Amino acid sequence: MKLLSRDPDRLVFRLTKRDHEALLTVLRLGPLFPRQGKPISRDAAGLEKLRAAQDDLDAALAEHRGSRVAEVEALIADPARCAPLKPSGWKLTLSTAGSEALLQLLNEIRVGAWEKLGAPDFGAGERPKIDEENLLGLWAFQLSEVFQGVLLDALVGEDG
Amino acid sequence: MPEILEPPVRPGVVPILEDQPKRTREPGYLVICWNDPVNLMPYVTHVFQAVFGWDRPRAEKHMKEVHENGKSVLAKESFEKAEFYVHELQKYSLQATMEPEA
Repeated sequence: MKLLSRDPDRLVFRLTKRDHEALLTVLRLGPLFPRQGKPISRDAAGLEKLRAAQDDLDAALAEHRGSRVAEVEALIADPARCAPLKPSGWKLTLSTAGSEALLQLLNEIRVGAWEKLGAPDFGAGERPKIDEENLLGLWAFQLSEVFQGVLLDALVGEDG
Repeated sequence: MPEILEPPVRPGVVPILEDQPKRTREPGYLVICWNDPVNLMPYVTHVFQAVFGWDRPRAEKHMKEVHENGKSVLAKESFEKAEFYVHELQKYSLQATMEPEA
């Protein structure tokens, strides 16, 4: 996946056939790595107001995830935004909102895969076992990071 | 005949919060981002910029605080605003919470 052009409201990438297949595959793997619920507060779990806020957060995140997946699926399926190139490859055109949605979704898949791998601290030298059970998670973790990195580099270039 | 009551505050006069007893005020909430070993540093910087509208140096300063100190206080807000920011940060899969100000 390579950045072709960038303006304040739009990023355009060229994807090889393999990039395109890999991106679709990693996005389809998302449901295999659902995120664990996160607390809205660490120090005040006893406060009634925060307990209600936790329920609101859980519901909002579930709803957001559903709409973001639908948004990215529509983006990838829209020939105006994801068009085949001749002789091969694909042109992916992302608006600011589209870039954010794809970035969020890729990161969620990456973090979800990491949680499924046992949340290893790679910086401290922890490594998940490479076995049949973990293979898909490792693959999704690394591949989503590759696409996320390209997208972040392109976004940083806007003002950096 | 309805009794005419003196308004507690004259029109055009804004009550000064500092004059009120402390116990009647809504406590502030700190929006905190906690370190984790998974989110990439450029990603965290980008999220802070996207959610708070900060420039890159300010976002990077907070990202480094998270990385080096384990957490960074990103904002002090009312309950509703703090809740909004935590929602936005968690939509990006960051470990963000809101804590009542001590």
